[in-house]
Formats: sequence, C-alpha cells, structure tokens
Amino acid sequence: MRNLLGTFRSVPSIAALIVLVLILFAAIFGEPLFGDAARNPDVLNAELGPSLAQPFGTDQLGRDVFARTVVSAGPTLLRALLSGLGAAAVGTVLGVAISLQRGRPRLQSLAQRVLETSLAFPALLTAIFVTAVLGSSGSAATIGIGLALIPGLARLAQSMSASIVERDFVRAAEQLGLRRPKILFREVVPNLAETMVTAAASATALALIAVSALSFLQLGVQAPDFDWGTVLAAGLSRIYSAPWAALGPAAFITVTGASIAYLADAIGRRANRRAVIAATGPSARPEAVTGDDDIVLDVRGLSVSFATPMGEVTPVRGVDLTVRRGEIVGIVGESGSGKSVTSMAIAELLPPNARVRADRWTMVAPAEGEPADAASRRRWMAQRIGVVFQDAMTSLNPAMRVGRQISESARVHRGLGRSEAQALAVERLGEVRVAAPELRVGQFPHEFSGGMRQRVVIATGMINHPDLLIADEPTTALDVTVQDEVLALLRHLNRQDGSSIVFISHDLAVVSELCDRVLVMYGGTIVEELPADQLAEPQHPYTRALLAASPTLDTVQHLAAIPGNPPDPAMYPPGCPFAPRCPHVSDRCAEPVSLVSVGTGHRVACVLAADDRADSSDVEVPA
Amino acid sequence: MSVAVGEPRVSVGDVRAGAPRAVGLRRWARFIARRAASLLVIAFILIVATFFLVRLIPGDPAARLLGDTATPDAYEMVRERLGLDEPVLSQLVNYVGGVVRFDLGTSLVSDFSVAQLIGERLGRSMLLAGAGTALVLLTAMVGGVTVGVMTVTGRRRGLDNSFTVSTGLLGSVPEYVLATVLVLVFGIWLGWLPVAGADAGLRSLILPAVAVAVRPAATLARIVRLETFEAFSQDFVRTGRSKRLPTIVLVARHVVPNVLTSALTMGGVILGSLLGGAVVVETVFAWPGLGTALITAVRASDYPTIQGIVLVLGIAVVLLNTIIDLVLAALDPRRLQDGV
Ligand code: SF4
Repeated sequence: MRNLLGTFRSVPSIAALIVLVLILFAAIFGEPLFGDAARNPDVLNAELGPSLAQPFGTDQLGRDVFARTVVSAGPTLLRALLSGLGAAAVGTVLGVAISLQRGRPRLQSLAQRVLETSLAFPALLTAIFVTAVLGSSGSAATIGIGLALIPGLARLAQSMSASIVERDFVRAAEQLGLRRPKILFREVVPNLAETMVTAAASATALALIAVSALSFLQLGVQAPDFDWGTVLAAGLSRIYSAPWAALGPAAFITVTGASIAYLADAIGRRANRRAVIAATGPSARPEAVTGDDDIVLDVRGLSVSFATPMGEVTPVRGVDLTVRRGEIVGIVGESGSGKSVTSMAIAELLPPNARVRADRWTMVAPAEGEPADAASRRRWMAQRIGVVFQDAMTSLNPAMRVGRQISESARVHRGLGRSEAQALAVERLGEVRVAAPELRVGQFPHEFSGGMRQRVVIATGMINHPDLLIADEPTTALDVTVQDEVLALLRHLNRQDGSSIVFISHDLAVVSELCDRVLVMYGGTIVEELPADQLAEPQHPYTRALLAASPTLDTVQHLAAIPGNPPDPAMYPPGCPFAPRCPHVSDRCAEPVSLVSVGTGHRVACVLAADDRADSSDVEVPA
Repeated sequence: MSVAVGEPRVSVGDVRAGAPRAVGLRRWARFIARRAASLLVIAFILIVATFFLVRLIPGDPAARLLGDTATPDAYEMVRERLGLDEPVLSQLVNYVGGVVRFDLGTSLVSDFSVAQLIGERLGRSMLLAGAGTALVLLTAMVGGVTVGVMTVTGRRRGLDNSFTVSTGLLGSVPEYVLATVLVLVFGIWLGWLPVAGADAGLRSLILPAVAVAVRPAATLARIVRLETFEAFSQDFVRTGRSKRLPTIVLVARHVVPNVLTSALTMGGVILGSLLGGAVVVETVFAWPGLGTALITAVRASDYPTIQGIVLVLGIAVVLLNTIIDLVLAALDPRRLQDGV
C-alpha cells in the first residue's frame, strides 16, 4: 500500500489525481448545478463570447457551453468506463480461457490466430461497423468501442496468464481435480489482477477518445442527448469565429484522457519496475602503466556495488587479481559468489547501476603512450581485453552475419576496410578451427550449431589478439564433448599467442585441467588462491567442502554436503562469509579474515590457516 | 577427467553448412506458403463476416432503409440489391462469387458500382495512411531511441519525466481536436497550407498526415524507448560493448535494428489502423478517401457500400501484416523457423 502511495507522489501523478477528482465532481454534481443552463435555449444570448459566468461562451441556441461540457461529463465518462471495463472483463475471461486450453493445442493456436487478426483490424472501423448494424446511438457506440477493444486486452490476458498457468500451483490445482472455472477465479485471475486493472484503465482512456470520436462523426449520441463529442463537434463547426467553444470541451477530453492514461501507466510501471537506477558515484577505471609488460592486469581491492531499489548491495568486496602474461587463471565459485561480477568489472562491462572501486588497477599501456581521449581509450581496451561470453546464442546479434560481427572491433579500432576485415574474420574463424571459414562468415548465427557458435564468440574475442581473454563460463551451455573441444581450443590459443586467460567457472574439474592458478570465491571475496595442481589438497573449509561435494572433481551443482545457502550480497556477515555454514566456526570468525600465505603461491582466508602458519616453522615463500 | 588438452581436433561444421542458399530458399518457400494459406483463410472469414453484416441488422433492413413511406416496388428493389430475395445459402454463394470477380454490388444511394467507388478512393486513403505511418515511424524511432539511450543509465530523471508526461499528453489529444487546431493555425491564421481537400498535392497532405500521426507517434515513442532499454540489456549489446564500440556505432548497429523490428511490427498495426481509422481526420479535412465514403455510407445506411469498404480495408490490413511479416523475416532470419 505504501508502494502504491509512492506511485502517486510525483508531481504529474498528483496533478492527474486532482484532475480526475474534479471530473468526478463534475460528473456527479454537474446535472443538479448546471442542468438548466446546459439545456434551456436562450436565443437572445446566442453565440456569446467567453465571460466569467460562461467561460466557453454560448452556442447557437444560447446555451452555456461550459455548462453543457460539465453536465455531459457524467454520461461521457460512464460510456467510456462501460466500454473500457467491459472490454477488460470480457478480454480477461477470453484470454485466460484460451491459455487454459493447453490440452488442445490446435484450438489454442487457432484462437490465438483469430485474436491476432482481429487485433490488426482498425478499432474505429469495428466500432463503425457495429453502429452500422445497430443504428447510430450512444449505446451502439459504447458496445462498438467495447467490442473493438476486446482483442487487444484478450491477447494481453492470454500472454500473461499463459505463464501463470504453467506455474506449479495451477498444475497442482488441476491435479487436485479443481474445475476450470474454479482454477480460473481462484488461482489465475488474482495473479492477473494488477496488469488487467492497469490495462482496463488505459482502455478506458482510449474509449473516452473513441466514443467522443463517434459522437463527433454523428454516429454516436443523437440529439437532444449530448456528450463531450457532440458538444465539441458543435463548437468545431464555428471554430473560426469562436474557438473557445471548441477548445474548452477539447481540453476536457484531452486532460481527462491524459490523466487516466498517466495514472494507469504509473501503476503499470510500478508493477514491472525496471531497475533503472543510477550508481551513486563514478567508477574506478584501469590506469595505463608502462614498464612491466609481464603483468597484463593488476587489480587490488576491487569492490563492486549495485544501486538497487532496495538500496546499495556490494556483491564483490576487496578482490585482488594479478594476471601474468601467458597465464591461465581460473576463478571458481557457486553462482552468487561474485565471480562473474568480478570478471565483468575488469572487462568494464557492468550495467550502469554498478559502481566499481579499486585501490589500484593497472593494465599495460598502449605502444603509442597513455590513452588521452575516449576513442584512444576504447582502442586501448579493445587491444588489451577480449571477452568470451557464456551463452553464444544470445551473445551474437541474430540479425548480423557472423563475419561482420567477428571483425567489427577491428574495423572500428584498426580502420580496416570491408574486405580486409572480412579476410581477418576468415583468418580468425580458421584459427578457432571452424571448417570452411570463407563460407561461414557469410552466415547468420542461427545457422551454426552450439559449439560452432561458441567458436564464433571466441573468434570475436580474439579478433585483436588481446593480452587478456576473459572467458565467463564459456563451456557451461555446451554438452560434454563440445565442451572438451572448446577447452582444448582455449589452451591452444593460449599456447600459440601467449594470450592470458581469466577463466570463470563453477566446474572444478575443468578449472583444474585448464588453469595454472585458481582463485576460489565465496561471498564476494577470494577465500583461497592456489596453484591448479594443488587443487586436490585445499586448506579452506569451503574449498574442502566443494571438493568433498565433488570427489572426482566433477561439476559442482550445489553443495549438498554443506547445509545452508551462499550468503545474500545484501547482507554479508561482517566476518568470514562462510561462517554460517562452516563446521569449524568459532568466535574469532566474526572478525574480518584476510588472505594469508600458507605455501608457494597458496593463500587462504581462514583463521585456522593463520593458526597453522603461526604454529609451523615453515619458511614463508612470498606469493 | 576427460579433458584432452593438446592439439585441438578440427571440427567439421554441421551439415547445413554445405548448401546454405538452397536451405534458405526452401525455408522461405515454406514460410511464404504458410503465410499465404492463413491470408486466404482470413480473407474468407472477412467475406463471410461482411456478408452477415446486412443479415445482422435487427428487423427487416429493407424496410428500415426505406422508412414507412416505401412503395412495394422500391421495397422489392432494395431487397434485390441487398440480395435478400433469395435463400441465405445462395445469397452467400452469389456474394462470394461477386467478390471474387471484384463485383461488390451497387450503392443503394447513387447507383454507382461499389468497386468503382472504392477504386477511386483507396489510393487517397493509402496515401494518407502511408504518409502518416512514415511520419510516425520516423519521429517515434528517432525520439524514442534518443531518449532511450540518454535515460538508460538512470541518470537524467528530468528528461525521463518530461518525456513520459509530454508523450502521455500528446497521446491523449483526439485526432479531431488536433486536426481542427492545425487547420485553425496553419490553414486560417497563418494561411500556409490548404484547409481541406486533396487538390494541392503534397501541400494538402501535410496537415492530415500530421493530424493522424501525432497520437500513434507519441504512443510508439514510449514503446520504442522501452524497447531500447530492453535491447540494451541484451547479451549481444554487451558483446558490442566488449568490442569497445563508440556509443553511436553500438546503437546504430546493434540496438536500432532490434528496436526497428518491433517498431515495424507496430508500424504495420498503425498503418492498418490508419487505413480505416483515419476516418475522423479525413472528415475534418474533407479528404476524399475511403473514410469519408464510409461515414457517408453509414449515415445513409448504404449497406452494399459499407460491406465493400469494410471488406476491402480488412483485406488490405491483413495483406499488409503479411508483408510486414515477410520484411521482418528478411531482417531477422530466425523468424523463418517459427512454427507459426
Ligand atoms: S574463518 Fe572460521 S568460519 Fe571461516 S572458514 Fe575459517 S573456520 Fe570457517
């Protein structure tokens, strides 16, 4: 409820509400207050100009146009409401009925087709058709407009309810033997209510204009009755001599329609709010450094926060990541551990509501020196970092030939011509071992199989032979054999070009096979960092649990072995993020824990590991 | 641990790779055949529906048409014109037969052939609807995408709000009001453009086209803005960002084409609704299109003319949507595979 009030707090919403309240007053009290002035002719005072008492002047018969407008608010709104709400009610029932016909796909698709077609039919034409059949009158116009609005609303209800009837509770209700109408009213309609109420309001705004249009065309309300449409039409006939007599009622129609539409829209937007919220401040960006060309990327204290409707959440908190030339670094963790956010942060590909912070963030400067302007900065990033995404199907533009997609970056940043770019695309496609690359560059993504499509994505990421390839779960969507091929390919590219790779995965087996070094993430931090060949003997309780859950280093689906869930980034515990699920938890774990070195290239963030180190006399080798 | 790291196998492309063109053609053929079939079915439904229009009229249409003063001769003539003097089934057969031969009967009012009347006026209606739709698509695409790109970051709340309010207001201005105001301002006060008719060529077209375009343009601009947001959240736009494309290139190559497909779909609906729905504006501007003819016919209860116009507009709309489908399939080849 407070949310609903919040919807109405903006200035336009308040204005719209006030307008509607005023119109409602007019509809209720207009007749008793202005009825006589609106109806009784006074020929002596015909066609007067506007005055304080008669703001819109008088018409040819000397009737007060303002009074006529106010008095006809009631019948006009009533007809609009009857059309809009009636159409919404019928449309909802019809749409839900169609989506409940899951058992009869032919009937369902026929009904859908009929809906689509009638949707294409001009609404006003339908309404005129109906008035032609029923004869011109206010009720014929109301029915006609209502009928014309039904298909759109039915389609909306159908597509909305189609997803609802697939949900478990409806299936359960069906299995319990509940009858269709019962399911309809008990399960489906309540879930549709908000959308359909919004749609009904929009439909009412449309109906208001359409009903007035029919009256305007003299196909609606007939004299001596009148509504906004006829009052307006009367005014329009003498607009050149007395514009106010038309503009007054016109303003009533427009402002009322706009207010209804605006409120419907505001409620609708609240219902499916998209989190378009700006981040709270500027993000950190990588700096170009010259000198040590061996370290392609160095980030210290990387944190990422997102601005959300519920406030700021920080799913990545203080990650250090250094990538050397030619190295393959794996980042493992469950979903929600922050591994993907980390990788997208270093690729500078987070959405606009993200804010990235870092204590230090450097990459190798371009040969021509520090990038000065935005364009040279983009060129620099394009040279240094290539990205391979998880879902090759959605990551490729479906409407662009793959050759152009692969070479696009090179065309923009290296100024290649069309044919040079095409030749380069063919070369890269060959490098990722796609057969007949000359043929394939001319095809669209949907003409490729899943594995081939992933190769296209890799070729796209490799187009400029970047220093660093960021691969975000590139094999997850693929089946096992194809997965192996893609991994082999990445390894091959790494060896051949010396490209470094940051490989994000939830798959311990894959990571241990492919990578040189592994970072284990949990709760937005790195809990353990170790050489891949030591992955069989981890020290952090979380990594051990991971391993225990997959004794053969198989895919970690979820941690059946450890009760509980990964922490919600909105409420990370202050100390060790694993504490709620850790079998070794103690009081000390409530304090922040940091990574400590326990061996060559092996660091662990756990109080136990720190103890071990203090106890043992091992000489520490700096990582 | 089955990962074989080493020299990667060369993978052979899928079978489809061999003859992409031939497969594409076959898919196109099947797609077009499907669309043509549904076009025929819908056209038939429309024919039957308009046929029953006259039969739906409560009471005896001939009697209602003529009023109380009808002579028996006139009564018989109207019944014959409406084809009411035969059994329903043979009436239907005659009607369908007539439609197939482009014979839509004779007007009750003017003794003109309905087909001829429509032939004279369809072009004007299409011109107005086409110009209006072009205007709608152009303004909505440019405005919607621009504002969309500028507000997608969540900054610029002011622009966001003023866009929503102004398109909301513009979307609620009835065509007849807008048309009249345009006539008043540009026709009467400024005297720049003709007030009515279609005799001054392009200059006659401007005001009616603007009058029909404003409301759908405002509505479409908001949809386009939301579609722009949607496009920005697509994975392939992120891929485009990973290529470090300048914003303008990213928008032009990856966002606009996707927004365009939905805008075109909507554009088809708008064009269809303007074909028949520009009635009001046609009346204000005395534009000699099908809309004014339809209104005149409805006021005069000229049923053969109403039947004919509704039928022709209906078929035009459906035909149009089929064409839009084909264009969209050419833009986005995935659509060819859809089972619809
Ligand atoms: S710090 Fe404590 S809670 Fe965290 S992993 Fe180590 S023992 Fe468990």
